[in-house]
Amino acid sequence: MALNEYELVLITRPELGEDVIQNIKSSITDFVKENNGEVLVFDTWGQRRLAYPIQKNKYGNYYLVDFVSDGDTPALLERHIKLRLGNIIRYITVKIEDDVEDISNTELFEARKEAAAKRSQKIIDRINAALTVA
Amino acid sequence: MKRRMKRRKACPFSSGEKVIDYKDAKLMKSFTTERGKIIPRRISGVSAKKQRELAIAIKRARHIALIPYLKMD
Repeated sequence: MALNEYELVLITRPELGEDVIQNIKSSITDFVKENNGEVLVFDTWGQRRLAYPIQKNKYGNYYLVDFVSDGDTPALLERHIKLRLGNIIRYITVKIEDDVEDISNTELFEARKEAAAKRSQKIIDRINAALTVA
Repeated sequence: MKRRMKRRKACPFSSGEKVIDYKDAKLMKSFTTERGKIIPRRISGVSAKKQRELAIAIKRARHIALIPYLKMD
């Protein structure tokens, strides 16, 4: 099946221990791997004030995950998050690109990883800039 | 509302100057009103196609709690 690139933004409740976050991180990474995919980027945006309370929380920790996988995985991943990872209070998966090359093609894969990392860094920079201004 | 048409604003997206990204809270917010509603394109000057993409992006940003659904004053 064709490989696609996806972007997943997730929000967890604010006060979570480092170990819980590591657990979430590895849970998602392993899940994607088991489904013939690979996580490219897993970045942290940090704690932000939410525009409206979610499950009574006013703040949340944002994370960005960039991964490639086949077409079925995002739905399965969201199901997995919904059932098993209760600390994640909001998530959204967006398809970035269709019909991406195979993981085995390491050169292109590394290039894609870098592009994703750069994209994510831009977002983090923008967020930090906004915080310092405010 | 009969009003003389002002000179057409250029769509900030069609020229590549800005990119529509639901993760860009500041940008998304700039296309919503004080109360959090999406600004009509006859005011913002956005092209039809981009306005559709913008609307989807704004709705995603709302889902992710980067911008509110409704703001009370």
